[in-house]
Amino acid sequence: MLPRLLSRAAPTTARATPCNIRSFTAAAVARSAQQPTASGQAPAGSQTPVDGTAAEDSKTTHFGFRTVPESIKESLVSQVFGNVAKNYDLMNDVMSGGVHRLWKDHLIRTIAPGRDTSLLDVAGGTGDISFRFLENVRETYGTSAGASVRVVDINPAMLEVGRERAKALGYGGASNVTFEEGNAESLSAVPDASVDVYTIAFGIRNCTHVDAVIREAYRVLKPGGRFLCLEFGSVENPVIKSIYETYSFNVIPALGEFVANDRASYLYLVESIRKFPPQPEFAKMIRDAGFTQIGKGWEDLTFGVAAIHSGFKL
Amino acid sequence: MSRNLPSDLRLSPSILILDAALAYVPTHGWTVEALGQGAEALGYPSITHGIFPRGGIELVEHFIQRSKAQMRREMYEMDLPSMKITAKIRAACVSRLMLTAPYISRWPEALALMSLPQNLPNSLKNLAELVDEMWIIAGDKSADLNWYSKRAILTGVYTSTEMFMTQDKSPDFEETFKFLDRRLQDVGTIGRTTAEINNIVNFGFKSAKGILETVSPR
Repeated sequence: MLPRLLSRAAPTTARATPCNIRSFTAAAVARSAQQPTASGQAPAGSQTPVDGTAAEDSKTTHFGFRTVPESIKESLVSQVFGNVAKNYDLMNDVMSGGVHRLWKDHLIRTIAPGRDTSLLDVAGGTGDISFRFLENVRETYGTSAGASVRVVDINPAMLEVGRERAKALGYGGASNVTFEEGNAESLSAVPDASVDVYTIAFGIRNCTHVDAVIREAYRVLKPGGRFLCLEFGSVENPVIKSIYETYSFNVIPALGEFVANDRASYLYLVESIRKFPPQPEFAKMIRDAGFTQIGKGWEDLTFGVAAIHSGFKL
Repeated sequence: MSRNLPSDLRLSPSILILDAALAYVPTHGWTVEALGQGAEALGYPSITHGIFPRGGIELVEHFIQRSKAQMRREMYEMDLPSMKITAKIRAACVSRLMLTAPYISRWPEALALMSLPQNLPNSLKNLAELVDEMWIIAGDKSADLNWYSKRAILTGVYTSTEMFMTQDKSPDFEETFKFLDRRLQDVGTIGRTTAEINNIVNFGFKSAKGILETVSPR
């Protein structure tokens, strides 16, 4: 009955009884549970830079609707994606009715890669973005040999799925496609100013320090390079919003249970979407990291259910 | 903090990229490829073309703005006070048309882009500004209905001549400039009593006829 001890920041999930949350049984969570459970306010905006190192341990962040110490979010997220890796692409299709494919295709068209564009795809374990990127280059220029893709993901299970797909798609031995484990907040293996395009699709909201992720993106991009983030957003239209809410909290966890036999992970996915800052706020974070934005800085997809944020290192 | 500036002010590289991209228009057209090549020419990755989210039309619009400014410079280098109004208008048209000359084989594509519904308002605005600039240079000070008719007429003269030019294979576009002279003659009393609607309507028919005659298969 561990989850009972965890503070739940929002009441929306009364239907999702705590018993369903069975996966996140890390000892660390237990420790976190010692903390007062009263912190009811949304911690989304509280992701301040890690400057004040002294208070490191007492800092909290959100994990879905729960408030957890910053130090353990990474391992919790890691568990979720370890759980969902195998069914990840199937579940994306089931949950979005296939629309996520359109979003990803649109992301690649927005990039409109050249014949020798280099892509760093962070949190791109299963290769969804990377293979689309290479396919686009091949269709446009006849070959994708000049382009290159570097996939970084913190989760070995997701990377494994990506490697297998690479083999199946004929990129198995290709030297211009690499998969490696790494943390989006410190891409120590990637040199400064070394990539043309940085993408992170449905990954950044799972990171503990979103601002650190954006700063790293800025660091590794060449001058003129482009940061693109495909992420869930918030729907403004009230009618569509209510339909979307109902669907998210009633249908998606049920689908997760039915298809992947894992309600808790999918409940987390839904909750984490609600905790992620809305488009204007996130766009400001990108601007604050030094990126130049065109227009308002993002493009809404499907009424704002998702959005492509974009910034140039100029 | 620079982040509060409107994006245009912070985007000085964009002007440089657009200028560099013009060199690739003859080979790549008014396209994202040309923009990408322009970016690469300045040492940026080709995908920097993404700073122009509307694609090739942004290159066209840049060219139009740039050419208008260039025409203005060329005109003010002339001995304007010694020239009659019609001569000044003619010189302005010639100056501006010659700036399109290097791209003339790609100009129909630009016209097609400009006439797309989403681009049309901007295109009409740019055209109106060009014609207005020509009249200002020619010393027009009218503040009555003539103001409108003058601009309407010159719009017709300029656009029909430009259309003619896209089909013109004569050396140094001499046929184009003959066409221009005929159009200016049609207008006749340009700059003085142009308020007659009849003239305008007539002019429209004549220039349409002129284009048809020259474009139709021989």
